[in-house]
Amino acid sequence: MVPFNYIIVLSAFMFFCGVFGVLFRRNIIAILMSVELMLNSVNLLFIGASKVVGNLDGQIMVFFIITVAACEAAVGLAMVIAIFRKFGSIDTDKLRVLRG
Amino acid sequence: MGATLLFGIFAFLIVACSLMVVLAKDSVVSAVFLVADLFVMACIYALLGADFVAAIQVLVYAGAILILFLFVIMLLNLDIVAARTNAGPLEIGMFIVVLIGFGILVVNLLLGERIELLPPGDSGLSITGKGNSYDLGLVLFSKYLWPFEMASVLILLAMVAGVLIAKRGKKKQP
Amino acid sequence: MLWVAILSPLFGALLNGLILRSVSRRTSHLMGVLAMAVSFLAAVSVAVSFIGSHATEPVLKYALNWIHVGTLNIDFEFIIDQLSVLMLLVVTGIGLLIHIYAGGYMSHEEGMYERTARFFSYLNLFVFMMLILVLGNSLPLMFVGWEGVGLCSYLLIGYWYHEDANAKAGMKAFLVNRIGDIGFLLGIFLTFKTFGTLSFTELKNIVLSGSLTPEMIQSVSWITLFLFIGACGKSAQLPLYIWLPDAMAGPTPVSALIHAATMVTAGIYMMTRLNFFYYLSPNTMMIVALVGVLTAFFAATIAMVQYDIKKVLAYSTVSQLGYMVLAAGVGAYDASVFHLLTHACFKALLFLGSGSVIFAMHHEQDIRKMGGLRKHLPITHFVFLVGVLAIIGFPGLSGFFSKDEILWKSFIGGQHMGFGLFLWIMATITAGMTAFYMCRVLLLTFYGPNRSDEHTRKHLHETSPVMWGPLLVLAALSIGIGYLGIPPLLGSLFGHAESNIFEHYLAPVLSIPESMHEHWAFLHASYSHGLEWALMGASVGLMLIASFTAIIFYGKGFAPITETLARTFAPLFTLLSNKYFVDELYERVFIRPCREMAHFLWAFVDVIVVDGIVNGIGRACAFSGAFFSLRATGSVHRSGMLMVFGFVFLLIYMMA
Repeated sequence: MVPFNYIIVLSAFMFFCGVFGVLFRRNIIAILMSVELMLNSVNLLFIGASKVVGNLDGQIMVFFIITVAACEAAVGLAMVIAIFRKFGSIDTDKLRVLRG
Repeated sequence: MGATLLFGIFAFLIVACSLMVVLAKDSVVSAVFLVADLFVMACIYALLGADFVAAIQVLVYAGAILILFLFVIMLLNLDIVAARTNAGPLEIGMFIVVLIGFGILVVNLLLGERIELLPPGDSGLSITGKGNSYDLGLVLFSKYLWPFEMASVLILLAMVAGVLIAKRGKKKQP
Repeated sequence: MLWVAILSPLFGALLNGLILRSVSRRTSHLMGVLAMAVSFLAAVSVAVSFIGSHATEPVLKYALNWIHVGTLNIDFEFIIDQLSVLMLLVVTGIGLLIHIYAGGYMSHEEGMYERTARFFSYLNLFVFMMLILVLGNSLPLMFVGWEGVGLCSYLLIGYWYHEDANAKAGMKAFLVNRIGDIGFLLGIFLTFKTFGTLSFTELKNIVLSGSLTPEMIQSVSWITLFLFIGACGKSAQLPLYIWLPDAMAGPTPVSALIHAATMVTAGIYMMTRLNFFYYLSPNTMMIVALVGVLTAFFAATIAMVQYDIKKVLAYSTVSQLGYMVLAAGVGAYDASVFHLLTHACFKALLFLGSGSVIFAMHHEQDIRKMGGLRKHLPITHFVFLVGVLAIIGFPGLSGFFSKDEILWKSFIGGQHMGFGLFLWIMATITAGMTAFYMCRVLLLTFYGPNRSDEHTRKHLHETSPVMWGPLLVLAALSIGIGYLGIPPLLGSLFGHAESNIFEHYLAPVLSIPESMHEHWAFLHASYSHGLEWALMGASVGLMLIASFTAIIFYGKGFAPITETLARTFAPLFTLLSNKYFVDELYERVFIRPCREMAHFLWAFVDVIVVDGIVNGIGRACAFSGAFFSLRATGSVHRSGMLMVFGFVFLLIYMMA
C-alpha cells in the first residue's frame, strides 16, 4: 500500500481542480459541480486518515459529509432554478446585480 | 504490490476525470466525468477498507446527487455557455500564487516524512469481526447518535428550502 | 437698614423690567421713584446712625459667602464708613432727584419707546450697581459694581437704539471701559499675589501695621498704576476719555446721573478708598497728577468751541474729573472727594437744566439755534445760572470752595514734588477756560436774540414742576453744600479756624503709612496766609476776566469778533472743533489693524484652514466611500478569488 503522503497529494490535486473550477467557470452549475469535487477530495482524505489512525471516526465523518453535500446540492440547484427564472441565464458574467 | 498498482491506476483515472470536469465546455460532459470520478473514488474507498462508504458513495452521491444535477441541466435546456470567464491579470496572478502554494505542498509531501497506512485487517478498523457495515452501524448509533439525528433534521430542512426556493410565484388569475 | 438701601433699587429694577413691562409711563415712573425714595430714606437712616454714633472704625456688614478657593476668600461684605456713607447719600439723593426729573423728561416718548418701564428699570439697576461699588469691602466686589455700572451705562446710552449712532456710542463706552478694566484686573491680581487678601479693611491694616517689605512696596507701585488705568477708563481721563462725549447720545437724565454725578466718579472713589496704597507710591501719584491736569486742560480747550450744549457739558465733565484726579495725585483726597460732591450737585443741575432746554426746544441741542430763552424758560434760566456760577468757581457758591482747595493743594503739593507751579498754572488756566466756555453756553442759550425758527419759538414754554422741582433742590445744594468745606483761611476771618468740616469728616478714612509720613507732611503743614490769598485772588481774577470776555463775545449772540477770531485761527479752530482728531487717530492706529487682523484670521484661518479641514474630512469620507463601492463588482469569481487567496496566504503563514 502507498504511504499516506500520496493520498494527501491526490486529495490536494482534486481540491485544487475544484478551486480552479469555482474560480474560472462561468456556468453556475459547473461551479456547483466543482464544489462537489472539492468535497470529495476531503472525503478521500478522511478515509485515508481513518486507515492511518486506526478507528472508524474518519468513515463516519465521510458519511456525514456526503449527507451535507446532498442537502447543499439540493438547495443550490433550487437556487439555480430560481435564478434562471429571474435572469434567464446562468452565465455569471451576466449576473452582476450587486455591483458598486 | 497489487494494491499499490491498483491505487496507481485509480489515481491516474481520478486525475484525468477531475481535469475533464473542470475543463469541459459542455456542462453535461462535466457532469458525466464527475460521475466517473465518483465511481473511481468509491473503488479507492473499497481499497482502503471502507466498503460501506464506497457503496453509499455510489448509491447516494453518484446515483442521486449527480442525477439531480443532470435533471436540472436538462430541465433548463441551456445553451452552451463559454467555459471560462474572462480572467484579468489580477486573477491570473492570484492563480499562479495558488499554483505555487500547491507546488510547495506537493514537494513537502513527496520528499518529507512518510506516514504509513495501517495494514489491512487491523483490529482498530474492525471492532467486531462481522464486516465494515456492522462496525459502522455500531459506532454510528452509539457514539454518533446525536449527529445522526441532526443530519435527518438537516435533510428535512434542505428539502423544505429547496421546495420553497424553486417554487413558482402565485400566478394572478385573470 | 443698609440692605433696604441697597436692595430697593434692585427690586425696583426687577419690577419695572420684568413685571410691569407694558404699564403706562406714569406707573413705571412712579415705581422707579418709589424705589429710589425708599433707598434714599434708608441711606439717610444709615448715615445718621453711623455719624451719630461717632464711630471711628468702619462698620462691616456681612451678607453672603461668595468665593472660598484655596487661599482666596472673598465674601459679599459691605463697609460703612465716612466715605461710603457720603457716596451712599450722593448716589441715592441725586439719584432720587434725577429719577423724579426723568419722569417729566420722558413724558413725550412715542412709538416703540412709549413704554418707559425699560428706562426706569435700567436706571434703578444702575443705582443698585453703583451702591455695590461704593459699599463693597473688597476689590472684587467693587469690580462687580464697576462692571455693573458699565453695563447699565451701555444699556442706557443706547436706550434709543433705533438709531445706529446711539447703539455704537453705547458699545464705545463699554469697550473703552473694558480696556481700563484690564488694568483694574491686573491690579486685583497683583494685590492678591502680594498680600493674599483683597478686603479693603484687611489691606489697610496690613499697610498701616508697618510690616512691609521693599518688594511689597515695589509691587504696590504697580498695583496703584494698574488700578489707575482702570480709573482712567471709568473716569474718562486721557487717553480713555473718548467714550464720554459720545455717551451724550443717551437721554439727558442718563447723562446727568451716570456721566456727571456717579459712575464717572467711581475711579476717584476707588483711589480714595485705596489711599493707603497710593500714599506709598509717589511715582504713581506723579503720573496721576499729570494725567489729571493734562486731561483737565485738554478737555477745556475742546469745550470752548463746541456747539452742542450737551457736548460742552460732557467735555466740562472730563475737565472737572481731571481736577479731581489732579487732587488725588497730589495726595489731597479730601479736596478731591469734596469736589466730587460739589460737582455731582452742580453738574447734575447743569445737565438737567440743559435737558429742560432741549425738552422745551423739542430735542434741539445746537446752541446756535437757541438764544434769548430767558424770557421763555425763567426757572430753567435761574437754575442754570446758579449751576454756571457754581462750576466757574464764583465766590460764595460750592464750586468756589472745592476748586480753590484743589488749586491750593496742587500748588503746595506740586512744590514738594517739584512741579507745583506747572500744575497750578495749568489748572488755573483751565479754570479760566471753564469760566469762558460755561458763560458762552449760558449766554448763547438764554440771552441775546432768539435764533430758532418760528415754529419752535411758538412752542417754547417752561417745563412742568416735575422737572424744575428737582432743579431747584439741586440749585440750593450747589450753593449751600460748599459751606461744608470752608478753608481755614476764610474761616479764620470769622473766628472759626477749624472751619473745614469736610476735611475733618473724611480724615479717619485717609491714613498715611508711617514710612511715608515725611513725604506727605506738606498736606497738613501750615503756610503763609499771604501766599494762599494771592493764589486765590489770582484764580478768581482770571475767572472774572474770562467771564467778562465771554460776555463781550456772546452777550448778544455771536459778536463779529468771534467770527474774525475763528477765521484768523482757522487751523486751530478746526483742530479744536474736531476734538484734536483723537477718535480718528485711534481708528487709524488701533482699530484698523485690529480689524485687518480679524479679517485676515477669518479669511485665512477660518475659511481656508478650518473649513478646509472639516470639508476635507467630509470629502475624504465621500471619496473613500465611492472608492470602496466600486470594489463591489458583484462578480462571484472575484469574491471566490479573494477567498482562495486569503486561504493560501493563511496556509503559508501558518507553515512558515
